[in-house]
Amino acid sequence: MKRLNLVEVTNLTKDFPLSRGLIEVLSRKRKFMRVLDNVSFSVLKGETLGIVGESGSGKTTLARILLGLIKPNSGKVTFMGEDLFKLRKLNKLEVQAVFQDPDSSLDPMLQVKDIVSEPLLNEKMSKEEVKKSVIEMLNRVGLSEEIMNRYPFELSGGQKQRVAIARALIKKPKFIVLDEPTSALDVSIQAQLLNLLIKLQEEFGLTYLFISHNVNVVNYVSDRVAVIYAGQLVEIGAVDDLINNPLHPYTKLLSACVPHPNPENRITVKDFGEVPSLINPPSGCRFHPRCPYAMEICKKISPKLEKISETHWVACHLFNKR
Amino acid sequence: MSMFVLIGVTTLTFLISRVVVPNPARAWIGPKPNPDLLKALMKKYHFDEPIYMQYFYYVLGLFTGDWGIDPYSSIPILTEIGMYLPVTIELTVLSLIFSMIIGIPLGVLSATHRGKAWDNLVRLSYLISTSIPIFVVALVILLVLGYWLKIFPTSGQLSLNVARPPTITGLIMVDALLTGNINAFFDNLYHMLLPSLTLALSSFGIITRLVRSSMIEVLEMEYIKTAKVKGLDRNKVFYKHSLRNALIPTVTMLALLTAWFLGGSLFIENIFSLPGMGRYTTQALLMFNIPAIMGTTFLFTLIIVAMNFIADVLYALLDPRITLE
Amino acid sequence: MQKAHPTVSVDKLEVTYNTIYGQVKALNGVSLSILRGEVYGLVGESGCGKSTLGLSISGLLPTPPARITSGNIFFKDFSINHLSDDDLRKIRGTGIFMIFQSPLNSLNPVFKVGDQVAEAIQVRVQRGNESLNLQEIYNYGPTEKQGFKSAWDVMPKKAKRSPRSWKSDEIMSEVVEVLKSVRISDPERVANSYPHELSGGMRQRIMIAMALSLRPEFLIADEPTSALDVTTQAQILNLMKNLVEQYSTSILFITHDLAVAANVSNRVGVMYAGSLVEEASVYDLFRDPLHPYTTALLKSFPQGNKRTNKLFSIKGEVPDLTSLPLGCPFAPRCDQAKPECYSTKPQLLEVKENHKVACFLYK
Repeated sequence: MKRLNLVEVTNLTKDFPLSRGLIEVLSRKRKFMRVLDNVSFSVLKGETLGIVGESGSGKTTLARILLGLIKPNSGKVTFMGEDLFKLRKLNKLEVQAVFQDPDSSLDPMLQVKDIVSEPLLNEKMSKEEVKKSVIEMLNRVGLSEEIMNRYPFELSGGQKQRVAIARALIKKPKFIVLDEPTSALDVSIQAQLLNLLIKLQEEFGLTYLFISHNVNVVNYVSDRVAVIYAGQLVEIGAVDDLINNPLHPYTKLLSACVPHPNPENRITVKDFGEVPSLINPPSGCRFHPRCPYAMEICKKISPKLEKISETHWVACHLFNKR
Repeated sequence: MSMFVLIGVTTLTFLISRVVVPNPARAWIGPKPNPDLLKALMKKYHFDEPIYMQYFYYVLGLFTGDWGIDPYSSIPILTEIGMYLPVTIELTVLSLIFSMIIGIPLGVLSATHRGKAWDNLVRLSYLISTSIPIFVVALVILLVLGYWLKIFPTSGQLSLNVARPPTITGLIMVDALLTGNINAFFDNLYHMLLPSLTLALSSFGIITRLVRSSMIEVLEMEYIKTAKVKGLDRNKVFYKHSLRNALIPTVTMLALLTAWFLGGSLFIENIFSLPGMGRYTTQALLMFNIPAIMGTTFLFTLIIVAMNFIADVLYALLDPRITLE
Repeated sequence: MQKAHPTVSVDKLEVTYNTIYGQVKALNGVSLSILRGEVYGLVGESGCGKSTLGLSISGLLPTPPARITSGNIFFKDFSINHLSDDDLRKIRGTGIFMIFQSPLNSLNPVFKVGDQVAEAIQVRVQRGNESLNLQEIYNYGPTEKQGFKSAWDVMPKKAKRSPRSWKSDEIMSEVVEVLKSVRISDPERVANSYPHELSGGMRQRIMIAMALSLRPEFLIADEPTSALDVTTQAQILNLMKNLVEQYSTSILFITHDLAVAANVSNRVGVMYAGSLVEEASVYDLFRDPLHPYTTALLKSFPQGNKRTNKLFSIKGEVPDLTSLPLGCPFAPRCDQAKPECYSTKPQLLEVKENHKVACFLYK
């Protein structure tokens, strides 16, 4: 079954400039932090692609690039075959986002109905039509219409996140970037929201990019999972491949460190290594200083993604067939 | 940033002085000018050149120490400022010290007794202090401590029977210490006490209010809980862990307070008969002495810009999270 | 009735907050006890009162607005909840220590981390390097007027060295040692850094280093890994195990994460809306959860994939503590609620050996 690529990301690289000292300014030396290093992947239509990474891995930068909020230094993002950074602004609304912290993504001075209807501002719709679609959308995300005239501070964390989802969906987008959408919520509320997101995906035929540091959550919602480490994509594959057969040493470490609610299956890892600095990243494969299988070549050359099976790709010299 | 302030102020002072007195040379030389002398003077001070060149020479003069001449005394402005400035420096530094001595402990007291009687008393006191005009405070203090109780001298820098120490820096207290004249040091301090106390009393509220709010904030921080739960004694939790963090924002008030004190010196030096910049400025204002007014304006700007810089440096020293650009 | 002496026990503790919405009962009669060398995992969602319990035990409850309205807290059989801050100080540090969630905020930003660890070492050294002997220190019986003689007063003379003389090499070399023991590879550089120069995981390791320096008998860890990445979290959990193994420290491990609790605890308590609803050994609780809330919580924990496992979602929201229902606080969200659940609050009762639950299903 060959599915259409909705979003295609090729060789994406993003540098952030670092603040420089006086001497460096005078000598015109520029310092950069490479937050994303040659990242390529594609998102299939209708699927959920999970992105797992720890803090500083560049996953949020990736989200911001896909939303068109910042431009990459090099590389290309295409959306339905068109270059994202050449599309006109209006078309970008086919991509929407839900972020971790609803307190900063919802304007505290606006009522719920104004927040949800905001993306419709440029549409030629009558007030009644707008109101009707707001009510419909609130019902779809499991909120009653009584909530329309409330302000964000009057809502619970779960309700705020539902409002954020309603706002993201009101223009019927095709692609939604979910950046840690449930990380600030309690377990019971998180379960409600994950179920809601899965239900909405089926109803609206949405494609999700689900970004989180929580491996359990990503494994649960995703069809495919990509693992990024210090700005490099190390492994990507169907969720079963990653759960049952993680190949990259980092993915293995990550899975071994994930706690399970079962005292008979405790974490037994003893060796963790140090998280690398992005300002002075390790050469070659950025994981090599922490890697128990590191070879000479790992210090020199950063490995390319290798195809292991139809669904499973890994960037590690251990699996380099040539 | 400070560069822009300086450029702005020099432009403003230049324009004012040229608009009010189009040809300063004529003003300096007196009512019946000798045409040759006038011409020579105009040439010397570039008043015959176009306005932008005049501005250039004006700024050049400001930075090379040529701030023009006082038309009344025919003494260069900078020389006059050199005579009047030391008193004001003494006054400002002492006022800063006193306002901190009063302001910081009151702020701490208020924060640690939040919502209780002490807190309300302190808040009332700084409300009163900031709402009464400075000259009223000065007059009341002068009347009570100087004239009725006769504890403090009411004017001047030194008692009549104390000889002024030889001028080294111009600051009497510093000069007295340098020459080992302890008597003159304390006599000068005694004379400066009332004026600087007056300034401190009318401004400690700014410090108290800031210390109070930042102390309250700091006391609720988790690192204070950590310090407590480590088993540290109260003094360590308090003076080592809380106070230093709480005082960091206070440093930013340094420039603001200095500006406040320089403004206040206009009243205080006149009321307490101190020969400082405040007195000089009021006299210049009353006599419409444009070069002197412009000189003082520029000087005050320089001082405040410098204080801002010092505050930034102190801030970076106190808070390791801040690095100087 | 005297069983093994618990390091800390809490008896019917009630804590009330005065808020603008009225009185909020954050803890509604909580009783639990933690034995020597035991890790007690306290699990609950936000606002259930688990952090309030931690703060109450360490005496750091912000009063006002909070107030202990009834109940008792015992540290090694001595009631400590009426002690003044000054007296509490003498059991803090080497007796009771606490680690907080945010590793950035729990270290003082203006001091080098080495100095902050050194302070902890100094506290232990001043108290004579040994664990506190409360019998010796306590002047009066627990119900009398309470007060401690300072540990400093009862210390053997030769142990009384001026704190300043310790500042130098001895303490600094111990700082380096203890930083090494929390797997910091370049301890000298880290000791000379300020907190903002270190990563979150590094800062939390500094807090663990502080605990290792103090060798407390009781450690309260309030969500110590919630702000950290999984690999860092696993590392911190591993280090905390060392603390128990080396010094038999008892730990109250407060977390919202069932999986983390399953990984570190010997015993687990589940809290809901200010009450303890279930308590059992970690194996019993996860193998055989009894309370409907515990069961629901476990079923809503994401495991496996959406194709094979549908997550259970508990209906409704966490209750508003200002207007708790009369009966069981979980009744409005419970699938198996009976009429009596709405009228009477169930007590926490032992229904199986070492397995307590507060639910009418197990009468």
